[in-house]
Amino acid sequence: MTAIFALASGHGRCGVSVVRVSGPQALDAVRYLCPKLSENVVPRQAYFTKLVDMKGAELDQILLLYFQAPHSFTGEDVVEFHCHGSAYVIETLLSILAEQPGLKMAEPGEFTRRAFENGKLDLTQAEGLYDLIHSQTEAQHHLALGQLNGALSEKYQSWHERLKQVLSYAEAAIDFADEELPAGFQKQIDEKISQLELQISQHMQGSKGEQIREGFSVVILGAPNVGKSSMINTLANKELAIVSDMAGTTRDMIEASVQLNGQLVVFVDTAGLNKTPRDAVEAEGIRRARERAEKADLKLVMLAADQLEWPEGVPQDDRTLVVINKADKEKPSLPSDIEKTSPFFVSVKQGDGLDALLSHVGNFLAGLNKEAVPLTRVRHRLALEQVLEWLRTARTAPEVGLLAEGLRCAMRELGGITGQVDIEDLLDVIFADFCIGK
Amino acid sequence: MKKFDVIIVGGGHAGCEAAAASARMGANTALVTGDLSKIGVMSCNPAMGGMGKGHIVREIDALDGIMARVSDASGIQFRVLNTSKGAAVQGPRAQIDRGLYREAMQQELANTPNLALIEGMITDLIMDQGMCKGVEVDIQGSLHAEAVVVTTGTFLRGMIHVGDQATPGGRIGDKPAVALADRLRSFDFKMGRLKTGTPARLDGRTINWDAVEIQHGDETPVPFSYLTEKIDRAQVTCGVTYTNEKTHQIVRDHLDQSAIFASKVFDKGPRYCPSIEDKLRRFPEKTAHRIFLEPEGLNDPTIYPNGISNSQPHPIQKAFLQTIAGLENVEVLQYAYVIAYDFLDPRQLKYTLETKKIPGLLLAGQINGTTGYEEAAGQGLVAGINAALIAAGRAKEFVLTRQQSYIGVMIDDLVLRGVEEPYRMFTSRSEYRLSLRADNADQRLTDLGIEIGCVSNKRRQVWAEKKQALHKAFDLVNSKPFTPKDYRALGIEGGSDGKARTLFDLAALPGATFAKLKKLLPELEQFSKTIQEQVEIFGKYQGYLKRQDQEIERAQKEENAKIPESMWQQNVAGLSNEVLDLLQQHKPPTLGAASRIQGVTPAAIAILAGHLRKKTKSEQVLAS
Repeated sequence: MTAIFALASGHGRCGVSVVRVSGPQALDAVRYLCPKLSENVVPRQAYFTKLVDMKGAELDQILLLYFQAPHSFTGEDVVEFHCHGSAYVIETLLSILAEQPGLKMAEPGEFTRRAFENGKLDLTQAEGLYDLIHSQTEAQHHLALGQLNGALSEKYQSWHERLKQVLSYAEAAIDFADEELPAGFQKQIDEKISQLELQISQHMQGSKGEQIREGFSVVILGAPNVGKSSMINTLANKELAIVSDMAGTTRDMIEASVQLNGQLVVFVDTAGLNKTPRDAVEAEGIRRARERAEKADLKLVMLAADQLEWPEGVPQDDRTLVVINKADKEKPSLPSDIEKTSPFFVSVKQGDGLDALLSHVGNFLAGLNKEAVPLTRVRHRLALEQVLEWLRTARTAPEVGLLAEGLRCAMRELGGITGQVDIEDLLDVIFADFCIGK
Repeated sequence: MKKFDVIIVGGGHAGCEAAAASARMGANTALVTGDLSKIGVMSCNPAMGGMGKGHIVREIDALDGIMARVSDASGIQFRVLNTSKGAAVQGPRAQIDRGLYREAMQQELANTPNLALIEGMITDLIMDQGMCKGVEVDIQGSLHAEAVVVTTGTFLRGMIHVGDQATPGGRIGDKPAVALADRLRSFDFKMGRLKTGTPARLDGRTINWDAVEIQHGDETPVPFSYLTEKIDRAQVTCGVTYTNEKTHQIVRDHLDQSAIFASKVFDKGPRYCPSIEDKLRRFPEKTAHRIFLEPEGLNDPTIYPNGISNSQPHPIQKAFLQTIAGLENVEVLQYAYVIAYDFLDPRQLKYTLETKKIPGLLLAGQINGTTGYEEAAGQGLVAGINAALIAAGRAKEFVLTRQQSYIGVMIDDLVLRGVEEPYRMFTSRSEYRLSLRADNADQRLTDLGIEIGCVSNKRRQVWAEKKQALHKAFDLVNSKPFTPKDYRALGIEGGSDGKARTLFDLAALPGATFAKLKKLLPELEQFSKTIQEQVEIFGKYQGYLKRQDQEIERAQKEENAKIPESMWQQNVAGLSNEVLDLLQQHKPPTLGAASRIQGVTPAAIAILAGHLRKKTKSEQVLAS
């Protein structure tokens, strides 16, 4: 019996998230993720402990609860991780769990199913849970796809169609052994599998990069030499960008990732918005800075006490925060258009005013309530990894029978997202594409 | 008044298998058919088996049915399909001598204890308190029984179409069964209509065999039955030729005269058996279509041209046939025709093939919307066994599941999903193809058959010996691990972990062939080829098989969770009206069946499971 795991609380940005693991291997997962925990985990006792990632680096501080079989919701050994409700922590935790032997992500309703099978739920409880499970299963794949943007959803659908077609071909090769299948048929199948593999793995590499960068982005904009790079270096607590008093030394974008209120925030330093760029390289840097600013969750427009001119081409909107640096040298008198933005005064050099600024940034971002769907995304990623593995198995299979089996397994995994394929769908493809029938 | 336990109506493939099964079960059985001399006639192609179909023949044999042995007694060209595609997807097939098959089948039935063969047309069913209790026969009068299996094939209001002519008939030259069809209609069964076609029969003596390609069978014929040791009969070759543009032109020019094409027959035909008219319409770019020229017997000049069924008027048929290489001077012995017939929506059946509406009435074969000899016989077997169980007092039921067999897949598909076109078996219909192989039908089913009582002594003995040998061989392999030094010497590259490995472990490694593996364990040579083959197959596929076993185990758990019919008489709290409607309509007998009904959600299954648990609990309380 495999153990199952899933995010048991709601998802999105919230105070606390609960990840539940149920099954005989549940405690093994704890040993891996919480190395500081004592050997003897006592059931029904709350443990305050550290959660670490694959490399042993601290991920979060959590509360851990252990319910021993059969005294648990499912009747099996159950472990609950009460983590901070950060998308990053939850995604990392789910990913690590997925890689443990004997663990798999729960199907919708599977915890309840196990509870039933182990006699832990009576009917009234079941009815109470009905709405919940119902909402998870009724439109499982619609929901899953609906959470994606149109282009991505289309991508999944196109893989589904391609996989359906190549599976149909493999099935035809087996069931219609005596029929006239086109010459080079086997080669066609191999090519189709390779193409599909390539597409999916390219997509996954792309989206993995996105995940690493994920978090809120805060772009720092301003004229050259107002102290943007010093600001980001202070944030990152180490020398990231080349900082000098000579204007225009930051030609490209430098990032610093910071935790604010348990959220991952990426500060981005940009090239100074020089009115008259000296060369093409600087001009390109400025163009990129503006482009990046458009996608940002928040813009910090940085001025200096001795340089209060609003940078050209930067609109003032509700996602703009004005910061006036070098406020230790002299208290400037502000022009009215800047006064009305209620700017923050800081001195990056002295470290004055930074805490207030960061706390404001943290609150502002928390208020943005950016939609986060870690559950769906982790599920998709795991499914796609499985799809890829089965496609590889299929492509390298020594026999058509095993090739078809690999494709069937791939289809089953992809079907978890896009909806399963029915034998009649396959026959439709076969009879449409080939002249079958003696 | 004549009294039997079980009556089988019809002497086709479903009827023969049903009669033999019922009689093997010990029931006093009568088979009633319009013409005793036509028992065991192969009405369409002179071939048995193939992918999916061959699997069914092996399963029938595993349950001690007769189709496999009769085919072995009449096969004239044996071929195992897909030999290059792996053991997991192979299907046995054979060309059959039509005359020999019929003779062997009639002899088999004549020698079956407990079985009477009766000639006559059914005029009515005998009903008693809503139950079917026998049949009225035109010559014999009333025949009483506890269960009746109707296997009338295409004879229910059969209508034969050729060109613009339509003649009532169940098969060319035979009367349709009209009275029985009307009687079935009177019960308000939901009926539908299907069609199927059969090509012309040619005189082989007028074919120029030098102008066609020749296809040989396997050098060593592999029999269907686990009891047949070898095939001694002389083996024939088949011819292969192709249509051409001239052929196509003639067909196209006369499309308006084709019964199918001029839309004179609307009924649904099988997509996998398209007429030549259909092939030309759907694949206009193809300039040639292949035709197999299959001999119908060793001493019979008749040739079955497989791949060219149609419903053109006779002169047109002859004209286009004579454009084909090798057929320039061909004489036609019997022209192609299309037959349309009634079938009963199989969703009105239980898994035992008894109708839900009329206790004691069971249906098997084409009447349930299937096509093919093998599909018919598979149902006949299940219906025959269940008819005998009904006559014995209904203490047990015989239900095969999707996890066990292709017959189970077929019946589950029929009773849960119904049919849109004549249903034919494909291996792609099974979720568990690697486990449901043609080579292991006995391992899957024979013990089940012994338990239910349909397996005779001879097979019991053969199976017991084989089972013992299998255990012995597997134990031998499992008890002999080899060191890396042992197997590297044979060129098998193992992991660098230095672990000792058994033959099963080694089978998955690069460079491992069974021939090499056997060198490590020469004791395997003491076992028969069949047993060695099982060792080889298991080693090769064990990764997949173990995975599939887990799936099967999980699914079987749901198949075992029986839902009492009383469940549907009440409101099931927690279920949406939509789902409840679906469930009440299908009345799935198990949780597994419920989960396969389209529109029934996993949530609904969870709720159902809850109700079942509650029910079991309260019953336990009542019982104590």
